[in-house]
Amino acid sequence: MTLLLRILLRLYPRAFRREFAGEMATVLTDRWTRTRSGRGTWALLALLAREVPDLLRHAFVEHTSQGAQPVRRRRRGNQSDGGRGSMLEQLGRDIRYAVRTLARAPGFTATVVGTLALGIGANTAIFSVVHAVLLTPPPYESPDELVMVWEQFLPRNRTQNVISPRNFGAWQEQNEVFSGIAAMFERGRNLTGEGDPQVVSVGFVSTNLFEILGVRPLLGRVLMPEEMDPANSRVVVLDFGFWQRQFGGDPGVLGRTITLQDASYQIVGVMPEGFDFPSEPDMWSPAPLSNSDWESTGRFLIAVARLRPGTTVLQAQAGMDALAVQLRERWPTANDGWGINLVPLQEQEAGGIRPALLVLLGAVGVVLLIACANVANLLLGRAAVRGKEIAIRSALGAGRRRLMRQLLTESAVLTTVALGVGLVVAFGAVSALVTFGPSDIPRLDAIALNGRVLGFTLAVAGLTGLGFGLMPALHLSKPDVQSTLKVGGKTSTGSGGHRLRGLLVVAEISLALVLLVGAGLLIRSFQRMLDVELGFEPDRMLSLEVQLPGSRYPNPTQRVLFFNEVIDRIEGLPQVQAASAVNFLPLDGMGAATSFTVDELPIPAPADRPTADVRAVHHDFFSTMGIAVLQGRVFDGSERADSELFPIVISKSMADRFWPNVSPLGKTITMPWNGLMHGEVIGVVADVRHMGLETAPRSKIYWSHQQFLYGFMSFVVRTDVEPMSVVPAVQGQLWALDPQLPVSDVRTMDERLGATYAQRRFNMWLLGGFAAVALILACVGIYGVMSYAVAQRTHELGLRIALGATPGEVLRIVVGKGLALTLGAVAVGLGVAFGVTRTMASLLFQVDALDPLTFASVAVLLTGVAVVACWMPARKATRVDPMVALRTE
Amino acid sequence: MSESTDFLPLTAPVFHILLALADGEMHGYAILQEIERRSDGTVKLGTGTLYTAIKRMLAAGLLERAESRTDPAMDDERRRYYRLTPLGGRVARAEAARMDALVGLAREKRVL
Repeated sequence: MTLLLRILLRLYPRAFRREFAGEMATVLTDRWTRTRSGRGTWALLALLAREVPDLLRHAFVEHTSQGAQPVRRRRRGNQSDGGRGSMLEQLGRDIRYAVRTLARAPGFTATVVGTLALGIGANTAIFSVVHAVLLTPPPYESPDELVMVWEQFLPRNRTQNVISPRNFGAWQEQNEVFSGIAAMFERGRNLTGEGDPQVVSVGFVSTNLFEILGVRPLLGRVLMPEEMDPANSRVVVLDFGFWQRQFGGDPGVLGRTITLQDASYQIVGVMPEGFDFPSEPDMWSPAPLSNSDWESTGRFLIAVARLRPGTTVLQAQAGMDALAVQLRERWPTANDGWGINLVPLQEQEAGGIRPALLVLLGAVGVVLLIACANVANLLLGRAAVRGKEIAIRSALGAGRRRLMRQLLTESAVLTTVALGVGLVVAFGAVSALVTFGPSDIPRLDAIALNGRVLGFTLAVAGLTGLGFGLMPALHLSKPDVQSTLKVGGKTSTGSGGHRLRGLLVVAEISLALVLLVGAGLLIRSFQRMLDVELGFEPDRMLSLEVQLPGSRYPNPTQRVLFFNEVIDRIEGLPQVQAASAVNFLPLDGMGAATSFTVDELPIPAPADRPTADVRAVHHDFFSTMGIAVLQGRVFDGSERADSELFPIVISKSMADRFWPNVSPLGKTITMPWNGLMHGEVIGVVADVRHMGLETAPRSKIYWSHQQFLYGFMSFVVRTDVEPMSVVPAVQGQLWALDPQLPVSDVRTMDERLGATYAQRRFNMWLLGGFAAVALILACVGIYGVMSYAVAQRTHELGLRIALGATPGEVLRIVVGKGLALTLGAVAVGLGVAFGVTRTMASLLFQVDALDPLTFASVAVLLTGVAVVACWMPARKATRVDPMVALRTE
Repeated sequence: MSESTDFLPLTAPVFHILLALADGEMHGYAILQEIERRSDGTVKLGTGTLYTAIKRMLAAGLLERAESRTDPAMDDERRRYYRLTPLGGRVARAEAARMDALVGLAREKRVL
């Protein structure tokens, strides 16, 4: 926060800053820290409320002061030149006059400042996210030359698939478009001997990665080409954050060894803060792939490349397309149907969140527009009331320009104050975004109110001030002096002003409608997502992952015994209902998959073979998770690794696809898994979502972990109590068997579920919040216009009542007029919404961008709310006393 | 000397700063604390007010920078100390006398 105050210091003239800025920053920091430690949030807000305007005001004074008689109080009204003075003096007078005028109408001023501050603050906050995520280039040398290189398999619409080492090798040798290409994959590794055992994430990389990205180490060195040889590959370069966390930032770590998966690695370097390619690993190590590993066709690598100087992404894509054709011909079995897809790195990093951010930026801009319209409306209303004052001033000789300048000065003063308050709003909003935003926003920690963001805010505020200030100024500065004075104080601006205000309200309501439709679509999407069948029961369920190091558990039987023993021990705990294990948890992504063939069907070409996810499970998995068994039976623990025909359990969607009309029980399939593996279907279970909630469930094959086991398993524990409370007991049981095993990714199933909702929930709340603000502002707008109209027509309405109009008829006249405005606005808004909601199609889930239900309910809601806003002034109109009304003339 | 009355009446922040420095040299934050404490929290100067006033008071010769550092507990290199010049002392006294005369008048008229 002191940052904000320090930024305000930049507003002072340079000479003044040179002299005092350092001291002032010290004083501000002192005040801030003392207030925070002593008196809490309200005192801090009070401090801001005092300091921000004070700093702004004196910055202005410093720029304009003439320096004469500086410590002495000014005597008013005795300037020798009869009140004209220099430009600056005039400006100073205008400002003082504006401040006094505004201070006399605190309700009006507070409404205007509050409305604008909200708009400016919200825009600044969202723009700061956009700036950090979309506009700030990643911290690499010439980042626009960097591309991610993916394999793509268009038949199944997979545009960013991981790549096989053999294809990577071919790209590296044969491409003519890159100056360098690096491969990498990330894996968890058990780190022991440094406090509690823990799992660290290691980026296994081609050693040229650092050179391609153009990054230098903070300490020591990066990886060397000769370390690609598996014999020399036991070295690591540490991530800055990990170095700070684990070693307290000790520069003496260089040369030390650490133990990963029971093997020792030497620390040779530390990377600078902010370097976290590809996805925030704790350290980087040379990819320990042997020559035969590099010939593998299994896909698990990701790759980044630097374009040759002068090569565009399109040219490079064309070059790689040609190479893909050659590779398909050379290795048809592995590559049939596969292509290559280049994605600029900057686009890749912001990819997921980009549409949401752009929609939010648009929405928040609309909120600001509505706020401006509302403020313009308030100013017009106020101008109407001040018609007489203005007329008198112009009768006394104030020129049109002079009047306009005075009115614009008022807008400028309002905007400046709103800017100060808006910055406070923005600061709070940014802190909230960083704290509560979904963790998959890239570079969340880089979001800050920096100079460019503040520049944006200044521009927004300036435009805002002009936008809402100019209209009333133009309108008012040509008053018809005679007629305004003649009617003896009847404060009318005539039909022109009224039409303008009507138009502003129409604009507000239609913009609010667009936002409400957008928010409505997101809310409906979220509802749809909550309705998705998970396929399992997430309540009171704990999950955690354990990885067995191959060095201490070399043979599969040992691992199976270990996992079974742990599960028995956990089930023995008093608060635990059931426990089991699986290699890849639901909602955790694709995990392992294989192609397969159905034995009774003809064998298709390799590219056309179906694929299914594979899951190795402990036999109690289905009952522990609450996954329904639909046909046949599941595992019972008697499965053996050496049987010829594996019993397998398949998911409902797989059963429906391959055996739509017959029972799949007893059917057999063949999978290319460790040679060829044959499976016999013994049961069918309900579909479980693995890829998050938004993709349809995929075919799934379960087998017993006693038949084919991974070195890691995730335990699932159903408890009677709050799941996190049993973590120590569960860890105790694990460590009783092996004190060196780290336990990682300890979370409840509800948390995992929450994380898959996080991004959507975030979008929904933000857009919903903006829409709510828009709705309130629009209501205030129409209420203001209708109240004013009723006040203007008091005479006419009184006359009608005197002539026998019933209250019902008066009500109809007033509400009818408001309704006409509203319906016009709703029609315009629906038209605009039809046009723009398609831009948010990628944010929607099972809801059409033109969802008629959403459009209709929003239109009805908005009309209803607007009618209520008209109702109150209309009620007042029915109570007009005809005698009073007739006397107002 | 009549020069000290040329500055009257003083603006409120300037007078408060002069009074705060009557006890000896102080740095900016200490001045703010002193003013706040002596007025029981009723007078709180903003940082912008303080330093624009200090700038003018330096220019008018009411204040000068002190070389010594007298608050080692919270020292840092950017903290600078200020003290009254003889002229500053006279101006403070002249303003106080002017106010005293006004207060005397108020008493006579039974306003106070």
